[in-house]
Amino acid sequence: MPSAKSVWEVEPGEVRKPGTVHIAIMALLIGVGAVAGTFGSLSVPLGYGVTGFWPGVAVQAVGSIWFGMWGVLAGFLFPFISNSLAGAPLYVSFAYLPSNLLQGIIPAWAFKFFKADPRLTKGSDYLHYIIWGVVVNNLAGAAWAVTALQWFGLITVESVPLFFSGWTIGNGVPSLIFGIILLKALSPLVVRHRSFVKGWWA
Amino acid sequence: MPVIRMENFGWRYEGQERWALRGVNLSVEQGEFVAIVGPNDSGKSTLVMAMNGLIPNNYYGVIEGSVVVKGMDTREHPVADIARHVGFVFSDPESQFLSMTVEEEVVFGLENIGLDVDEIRERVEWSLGLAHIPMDYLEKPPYELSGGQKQRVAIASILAMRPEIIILDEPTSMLDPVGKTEVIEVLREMRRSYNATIIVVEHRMEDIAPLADRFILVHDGRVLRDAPPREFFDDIDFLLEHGVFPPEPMVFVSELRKMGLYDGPIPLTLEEAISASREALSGLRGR
Amino acid sequence: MPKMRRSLLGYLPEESPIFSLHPVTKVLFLLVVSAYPMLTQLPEANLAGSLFMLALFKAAKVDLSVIKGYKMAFVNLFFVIAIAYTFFGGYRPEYTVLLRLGPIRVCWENLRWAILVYLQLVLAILVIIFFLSTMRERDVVVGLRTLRLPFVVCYLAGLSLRSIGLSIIDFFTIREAEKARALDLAELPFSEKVKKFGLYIVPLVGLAIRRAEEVSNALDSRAFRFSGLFKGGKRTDYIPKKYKIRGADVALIAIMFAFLAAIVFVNYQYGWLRAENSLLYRVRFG
Repeated sequence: MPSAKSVWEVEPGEVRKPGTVHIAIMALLIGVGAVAGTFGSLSVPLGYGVTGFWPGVAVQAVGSIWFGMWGVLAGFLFPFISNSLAGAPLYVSFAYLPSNLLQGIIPAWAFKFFKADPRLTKGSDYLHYIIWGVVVNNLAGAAWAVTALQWFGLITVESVPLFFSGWTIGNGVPSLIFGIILLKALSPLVVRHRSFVKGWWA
Repeated sequence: MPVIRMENFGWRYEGQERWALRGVNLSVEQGEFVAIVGPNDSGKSTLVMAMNGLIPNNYYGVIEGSVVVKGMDTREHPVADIARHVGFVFSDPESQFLSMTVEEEVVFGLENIGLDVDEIRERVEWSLGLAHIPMDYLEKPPYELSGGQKQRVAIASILAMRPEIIILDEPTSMLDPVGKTEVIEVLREMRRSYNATIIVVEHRMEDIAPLADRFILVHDGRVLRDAPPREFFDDIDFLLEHGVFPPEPMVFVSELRKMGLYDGPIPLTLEEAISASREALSGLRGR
Repeated sequence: MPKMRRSLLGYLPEESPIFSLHPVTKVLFLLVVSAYPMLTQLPEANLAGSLFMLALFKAAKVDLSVIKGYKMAFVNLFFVIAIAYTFFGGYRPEYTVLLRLGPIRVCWENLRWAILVYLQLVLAILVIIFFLSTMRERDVVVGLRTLRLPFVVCYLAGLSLRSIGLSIIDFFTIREAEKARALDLAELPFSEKVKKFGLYIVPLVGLAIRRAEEVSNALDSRAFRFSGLFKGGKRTDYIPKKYKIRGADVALIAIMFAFLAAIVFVNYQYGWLRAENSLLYRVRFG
């Protein structure tokens, strides 16, 4: 089994370049994310697409760790579809774009930067996921989302804590549970798959 | 000059100890109908994926030897270049659909190779006709069709590109009996009216035997036998030993031969098997 | 039974007049008309817009049960907004208190704002439901292609929409497999649903990864290129060329943009669409 370092390290002579498999994985992640996201948005809606339980975030975080920018882009785009299907206005979805970007790119960056193993082989791998894939990314996403909602005049200053905590908890719990399940169950397969991205694009 | 030439070809997938294929030497001529058989996991799919460049272009692994298709070394040309000459039909019709209607599916490859609109229209009609898909299916989503129809749409979308070589990797394995028969009928039609090289990985040997010029047995990553059908099926015990189960009429006639009741060639069709059995029975009556 | 065509959100009769429009008109409808409620606070205007949208649903022969499917989303949204604005809406001395619940004061000014926001959102949601009910995947690709977006972006949009369909099929397949083993998510209380959702998401993602390989092989085998160019030549836009932008499309696009410009103009020049002009602001208590 390759070491955690070798998961991210490009071997001498190894050629990695973006291919159709990355286009395919991005499109398919958008599909899975949209289904998971719609399920969440319809199950505990808090309004404006904010939900008390949004499993789509696990696809964002884990997909970005595995597939680099292709996962980040998928996580950036699929909430458009899932929010729309769940009945959120188009421009509210536009407003959430930075949140959706942050929720994927932060754990992807952290795993590469700290050379954490997506197969979660050590305690520190779990810790990195919890810090960057559950706490920091969702706090950042929530901070942007409530700011945007307030800019649009859709929520009052007083209701910011309600939506902020709704977003953070609604995303934090599924990213903790499903993110760890996904990483543990599928990372051993994914790191050997040609869609796995060691850098940002390939 | 062969359209496909494999020289000492070998392939080992990344992370695997075992070679999926090793020491393969074979060539395929223009217009040949080649059937590839062998037990599961013997390397049949790897062999055909190497023939259109998916291996080594789309997989990580170790390569030995070379594969040259229409003069293109697959190590040096992307699959998209080779695709102009080699069409590939996969076993799962659903997973190869790339579009949302039958029409988009069939024209997808034609748009990619930059044909003009009139030619695309003409090829759509021709390929759907050959695959027995009515033109009023153009607007239908392909994934709402029956299994056999789906696979025939997949074949039509490859035929439309008019490749010189068409590879079909177990095209009937995921279909019900009706679907299998429909697809085999299209293969017959292709054999009759389309002068391409056709390479089929298929378990339904009773349907393929009358169509094929050659049968290739792949076992444990090696080509064990490569011969015209009658010669290929001549030693039934050898095939059975290597995980290939020839059609029952052939096995029956082979048994008659072992018993000394028949000494003719192995039949390739049911009709031939019946006449061989008659011959054996008439010999019995004469004793 | 009329012949139906599949849309993103169900089926639409073939004789629907919406099919005579170019997809780019429908894409622009979503982009432009969705902006109207965002620029309009006046609840009467948004209410009128919503009624207009319902008429549009009828004219396009969309089955209105599609909207009924969103009933709970509309109801939830109302309660969330009402709670967010009344209980968490803040208090100023000049506010009219309608109800006191311990330390919480439910004020008319907050409730009025909740109604305003709700009506904005209802119109915006109706626009998006209309779009989803009348668009087909192919329309999205053609619409985006007509807007001169790169081929790879348009194709990705189409493939993504198709992969949603695949994921839904996978989801039901997994559900049937779980049901066969006596687990039915639909029957479980929410907390159990959450716990068991892991049983769905792992195979869903696993299938997507496996399928990525097949889709990639199929794309390559049909000469797909990121750039849309084949050996320096141009990829043919066969499907987009089948659609023609007609007079009705031009007229509708012009009207949509003119209306948008009018909203911006009257709003910023005269303030006609501001909340203060609403009849709700004339309601007085006591």
